[in-house]
Amino acid sequence: MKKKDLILIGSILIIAMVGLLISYIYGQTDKELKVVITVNGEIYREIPFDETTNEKITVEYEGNLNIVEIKEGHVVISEANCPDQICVHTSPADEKGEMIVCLPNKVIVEVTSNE
Amino acid sequence: MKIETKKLVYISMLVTQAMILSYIETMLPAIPIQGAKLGLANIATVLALSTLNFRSCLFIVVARTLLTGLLFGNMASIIYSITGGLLSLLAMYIIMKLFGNTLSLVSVSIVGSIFHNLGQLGIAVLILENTRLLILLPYLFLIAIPTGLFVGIVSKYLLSYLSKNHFNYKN
Repeated sequence: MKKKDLILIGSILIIAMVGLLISYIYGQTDKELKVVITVNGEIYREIPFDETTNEKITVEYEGNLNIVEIKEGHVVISEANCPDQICVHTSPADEKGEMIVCLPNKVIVEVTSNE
Repeated sequence: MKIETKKLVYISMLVTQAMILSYIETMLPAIPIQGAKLGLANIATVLALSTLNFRSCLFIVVARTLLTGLLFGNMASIIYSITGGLLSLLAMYIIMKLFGNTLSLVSVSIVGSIFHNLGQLGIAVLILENTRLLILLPYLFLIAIPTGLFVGIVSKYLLSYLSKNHFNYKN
C-alpha cells in the first residue's frame, strides 16, 4: 500500500458518502408513500403504504415466484424461487427510494411517493 | 516452442482458477445488494494483467465467463458477468497503464471491483428498464473497497510466487 492508494480509497469513500447523503435527503418526504411492484419493466401492483399496511402479495410471472410481505412499516421479499436469494436477504425497505431487487426473476419492489 | 507451451498452460490454469473460484463463490453467502459480488474470479484477471499482454487477458476473461455461465449459470448470468468482467478488465488495464508506478495492485483491483459492479448494475438498468436502480450505486462503491482490498492482497502474494518461478510474459 502506498500513499496514493489511501488517497484513492479515501476519494471512493467520499463519493459513496455523498451518494448516500443524496439518497437520504431524497428519502425524506411528507407525501403519502406507496409500494410499487414492477415485473419485467411493467407495473404489477401498487399498494398504499404506511405503518398499518399489512399485506402479503404473491408475484407470479413466467413460472417465477416472489412473495412480498408488507407489515409493521417494512417491506420484504419473504420468499422467492430465484437461484441467488439475494432479494430475500436484502434488508427491509421502509423509506422513499429504497428498493428490493430480484434480478433473476426481474422483480423490483420499491417504496415511492405519490407525486 | 517450449516457452509457448508453458505460456499456454499458464493461460489455461488462469481460466480454470477463475472458474473454480467463481464456483466456490456461489457456495459462500451472497452480499445482499444486487450487482455486488466478492469477485474472487477477479484474482485471475489481476494476475493475467500483471503477467500477460492485453490480448491474453481478454481471452481469459471471455473464456472464463462463457465457461462458468454454461456450466453453472444461464444466458442472463452470462450477459451480466461478461459485461462486468470486460468493463473491469478495461478499467484495470487503463489504470495500470496510466498509474502503474504510483498505485499498487490493491488500488487496481478496487477500481476493477467498482467497474465490475457498475457493469452489472448498468445491465440491470437496461434489462429491468428502471433507472431508479442507480440508487444502489453508493452501496456498490462502498462494497468495492473491502472486496477489492481482498482480491488485491491475494493477487499480490500469488504474483510474488509467480514471478519467482518466471511466469511473466508481459513482453
